[in-house]
Amino acid sequence: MTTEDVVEKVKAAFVEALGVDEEDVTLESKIFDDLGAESLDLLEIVFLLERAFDIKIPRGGVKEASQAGVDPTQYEADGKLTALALEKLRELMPEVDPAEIKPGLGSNDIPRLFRVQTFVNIVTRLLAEKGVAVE
Amino acid sequence: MPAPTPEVAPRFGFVVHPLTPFQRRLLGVRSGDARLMRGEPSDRPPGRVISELAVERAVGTPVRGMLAAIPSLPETLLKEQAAGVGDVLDAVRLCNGAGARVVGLGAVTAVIGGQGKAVAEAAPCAVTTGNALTAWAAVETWARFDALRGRDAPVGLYGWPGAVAGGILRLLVDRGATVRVVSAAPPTPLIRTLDRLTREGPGRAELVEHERLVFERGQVLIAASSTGGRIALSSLPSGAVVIDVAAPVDVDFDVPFREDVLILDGEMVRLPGRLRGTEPWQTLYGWVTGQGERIFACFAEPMLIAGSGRLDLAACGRDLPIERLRAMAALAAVEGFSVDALCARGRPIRGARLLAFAERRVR
Repeated sequence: MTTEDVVEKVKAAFVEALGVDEEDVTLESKIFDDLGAESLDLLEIVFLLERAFDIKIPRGGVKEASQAGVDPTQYEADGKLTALALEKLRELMPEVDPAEIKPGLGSNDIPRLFRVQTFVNIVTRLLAEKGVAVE
Repeated sequence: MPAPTPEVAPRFGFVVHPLTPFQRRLLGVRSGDARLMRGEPSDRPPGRVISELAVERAVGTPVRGMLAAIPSLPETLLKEQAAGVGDVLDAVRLCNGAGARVVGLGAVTAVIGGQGKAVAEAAPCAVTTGNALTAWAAVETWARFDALRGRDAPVGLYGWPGAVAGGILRLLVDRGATVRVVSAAPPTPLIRTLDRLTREGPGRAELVEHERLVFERGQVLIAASSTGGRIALSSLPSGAVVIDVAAPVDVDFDVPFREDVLILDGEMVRLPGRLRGTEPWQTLYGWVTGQGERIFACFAEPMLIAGSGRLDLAACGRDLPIERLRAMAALAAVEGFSVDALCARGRPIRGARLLAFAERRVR
């Protein structure tokens, strides 16, 4: 499977779930702020991607991945992500401008960072885990 | 125009699920499923009929149907959507096998699989989420309150791009209202939608940055988010009027009561006649179906569709075209479904209290 195939299918999922025009969906689009998604739409997008690629996308996967190897008490304090958690998140989400992953962010704010590219990355990683190479 | 009412209306179904592990065990008791009773995974097919239902109509024979349940809990349905869709489909097929031509999806079953679209695609009958009648109920509630004020004031709306909020927006603009959609950072699709609706008219759709700006001008806010819990009761300014359509509700009762704020139920519908069931399902499922004389619009919608025979009005997914909303509103009037009283938490509100808010004497 090529990267283009993945990108095309991911974009198609956004178009179907959100009813937006194809030209609105770019890899840089923020799914809430630019495309007008709401949390229920995330569910639909995940469902469509799982069907399209025959994968299982874990709920809260980005948050969980950013928590991996971090002592829970070191992850969040007073509802805000710690410097360590922010650093992990920056590594996990290279598609997001690091300046956006800034102090004051809570774990509930993580989905607001999601781009279309975030889902391309998640799908690519999950395909690799099941042995499907994306080139 | 509504189709001629058939002599014997098609049957309807409505699918629900337990909210808690305790309710799940009770479902095991009710359906004679020992494993479920013990809190273990069931080895039986997921769908099971909880109660046979019949609702009297304004005209014609009663509409008959059934309440069906699947044993999945909300978190399981949300986590394992594909399996959840399969379970819901099993319940829909069960209803269809018992004669239902239209099946409504309750609670989380209306959320997963693209807000019911995946179930509808594979179902042997019409499937509906109830969003159209819910939008209608909210607008009727607003119209009743607005009539008390004797003026056409703009109305605030919270919850776009949810399906119900979108339906409310279209219906209000179609009725000539000026709608102020709350969005702090409006995305391009919202701006485009508001421009288009204003061009189409006859009403107007505009943006407002915060709900506070709605209340400052003494306007009503219709709250219809998809996830609920977005507005703290304690944070509302004195004199605020909110029509809460969300399920779960948008206004979070972080304080028990406020005399100076009015929170109206925005999703309740009065049926044209008595609703009877072979089992007392309300004890367990009242939270998704409603209680007593008034029930949730999403539960009422498949009854309305079945009674009228307008199976083409069943709909899933986010988009509710205005033609479908208009048709549903016309059907509700013909079949005697109504918003007959302004209520708070299921109980009608005293006229004096309503008038005090309508006349803005509460500040």
